[in-house]
Amino acid sequence: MTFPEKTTLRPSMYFVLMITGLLGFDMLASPLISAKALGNAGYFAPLAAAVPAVAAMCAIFALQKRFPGQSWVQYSIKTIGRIPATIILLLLMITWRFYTTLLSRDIMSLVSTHMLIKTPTWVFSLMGFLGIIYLAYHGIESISRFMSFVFVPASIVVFLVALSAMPYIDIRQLLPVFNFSFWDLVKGAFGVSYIYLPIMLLLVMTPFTRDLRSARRFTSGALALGVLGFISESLSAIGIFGATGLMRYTWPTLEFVHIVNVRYLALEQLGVLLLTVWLVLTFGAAAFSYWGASYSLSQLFPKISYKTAMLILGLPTGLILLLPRNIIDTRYYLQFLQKWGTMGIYIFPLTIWLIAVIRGCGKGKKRHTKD
Amino acid sequence: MDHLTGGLNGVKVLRRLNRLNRLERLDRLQSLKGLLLGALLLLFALLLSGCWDVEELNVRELCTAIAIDGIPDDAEDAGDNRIRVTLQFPLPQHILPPTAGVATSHRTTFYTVSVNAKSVGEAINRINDQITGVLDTSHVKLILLQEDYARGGILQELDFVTRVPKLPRQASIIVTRQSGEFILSQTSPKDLLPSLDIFQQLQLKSSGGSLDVPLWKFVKILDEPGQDPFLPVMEYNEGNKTFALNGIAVFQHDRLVGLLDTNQTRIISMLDHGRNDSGFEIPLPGNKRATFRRFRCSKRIIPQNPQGSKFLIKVKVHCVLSELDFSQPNMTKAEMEQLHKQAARFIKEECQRTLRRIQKMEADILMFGLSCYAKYGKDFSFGDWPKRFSQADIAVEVDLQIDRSGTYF
Repeated sequence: MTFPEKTTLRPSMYFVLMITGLLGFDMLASPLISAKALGNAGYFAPLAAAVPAVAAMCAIFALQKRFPGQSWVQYSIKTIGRIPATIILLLLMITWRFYTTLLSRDIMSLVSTHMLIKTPTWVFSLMGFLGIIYLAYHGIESISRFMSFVFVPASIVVFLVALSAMPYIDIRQLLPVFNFSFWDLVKGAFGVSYIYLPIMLLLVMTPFTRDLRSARRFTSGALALGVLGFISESLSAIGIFGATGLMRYTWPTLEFVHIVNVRYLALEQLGVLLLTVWLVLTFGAAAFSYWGASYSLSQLFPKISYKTAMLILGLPTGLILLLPRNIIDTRYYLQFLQKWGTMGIYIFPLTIWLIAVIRGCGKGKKRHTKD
Repeated sequence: MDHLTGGLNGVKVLRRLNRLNRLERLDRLQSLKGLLLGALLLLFALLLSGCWDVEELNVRELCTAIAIDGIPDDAEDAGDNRIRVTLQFPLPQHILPPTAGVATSHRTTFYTVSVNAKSVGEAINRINDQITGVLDTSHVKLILLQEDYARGGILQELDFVTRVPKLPRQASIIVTRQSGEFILSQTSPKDLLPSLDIFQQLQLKSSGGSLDVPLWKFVKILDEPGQDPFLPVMEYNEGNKTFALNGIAVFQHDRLVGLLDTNQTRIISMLDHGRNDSGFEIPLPGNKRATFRRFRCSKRIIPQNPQGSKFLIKVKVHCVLSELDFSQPNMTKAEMEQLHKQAARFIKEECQRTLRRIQKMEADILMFGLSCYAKYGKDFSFGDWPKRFSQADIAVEVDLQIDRSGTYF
């Protein structure tokens, strides 16, 4: 078997990278989107949204099995042809970069309102941006090393903080459980599906392992833990503030952490602790995402090296990060993408896999010819 | 030929040397990059924490309480202003213990600043302009609302609560019988800041004759349909110079509609907080009395229909007998059972009386509507709920257990 990647990732790294990616993006706001979609039963939204994410994950691993050692760019070209593949992949990459950069911008506004109030947003946006570029510049090895280092303490703090809010829950605010129609659930799945978007980075990651079965197992574990985390967050936020009361807050997770009263120990500081830890996860997730987009671009246009691709993407990323003038600009586009823009991305690997099966491309075709 | 070969070898050697030089330069460049990166990080750390967000402790004016009083429409200097806002600031240099050799002096430990304004936001900005330091709201412990002002509705004035990220969500909010400005200018016998004294009292006596309500919970209930909040009531006792917590103020949405006395508050404390630390005196036949303390309670509101017109509350109470006002050290089993029944009947009657009172106020502070929605979902509607709640038929079942009698009965 030819294996073009010089670097290999241990299957356990899939767990670390995926859970950091999932928790690092928009963890603090997700209960708001869940409650908007399904009201007091909003905790079902992360579960419903996981269905397309799981399907996409299975399709990605099936594609890698079908096209061993090949990148998603290579097998997309083989399956649907060079020109359509190039157009679709470019569109996907643009959407992906646009979305993650807007999200980063939104997170910067959170830092601005909760931590560095007087410091201009562009200063720490620029600092974060340069840091992400530095981390991504050294490739997946450097990112995975960074994430392994921060993953355990950060995840423990995130989960403990979420659990500490449980005693404040009024169970009546979570009832009735099945207070929605099927279409409400579909709408909820669409709305919240964006929280699992980092799963799409598997497209770029899967050629880095030889042990696909173990990698799939670890990825499933990370996804399951992510789903559990998102559900417990929605449960806590809705149980504490109620589905209507929640609408008051842009970052409900941070708000419910603020009300946790740990006397004499960390009173008033638990929110800052969570925010700091979460920002470290976000930093890693953003570098991971930046690496994925740059690596894909260099694969799509082989004449462009990875480092050149990074610089090419740096300019639009920096512009989106620094140009929006106010919170309306950021939120308007972000909410549009959160509502409609992400389900299409999950469809991509499923469609490619379906076409590959129908057309008999890849390993399946060879076996068929031998028979 | 040899000469040529030797020449070529020389070129190779030169090339190798050049390559080595380049590698050495690269090595140096690498270490220089590390240094540059370190310097850049240091610069960012200095810029971010030092230049923009630095705030020395002694330039901060730490606000510990915000009082909101209404201005009567006919007041002479009212103008367009609707409220009078008072902020209390401690004077740390007067609070700290005196150093050795320095005599103590009885100076005031705080000062207050009051302004008239149209909103709390405007008032805070005006006060910020008047004080010498930088206003810091991250240590606010107490928000006081004057009773008369609260009767007119307070939703608009409390909008700032969730928009100021540094304002502690655990701060307590209370209704005051006198004006907040007056309360915040009084001193307590313990010579504490009035705001800290009241806050401490609320924390220590969070259930019983008065109830502590954190700011986040009050605002949250205001947002939810069909839920009404309540707040502890406080007044300054000028004779004893103490801040007395006395009952609760009941709101219909954001308007204060009535006050509950201490006994009724104890019942609400049992039903809402699940405990009542200040106990009850229960009348017994023959003009005798029994005193109970440490009430622990669990309740279940069971809606009987989706219209929300009939409810059953099942209340389980555990308490401790602390006093009988008649001499009877040893009681028989039958007497003890009789005492159980009489205490349960008393609690039931008090519950019914308190429920009737809040129904009359059309204020669903125990969240009957939410319980109905939790059971029946979309079949239940919150439309016109206050009216329907006031007419609802609420049955009470009390199961009381005396855990300890203090003596062997």
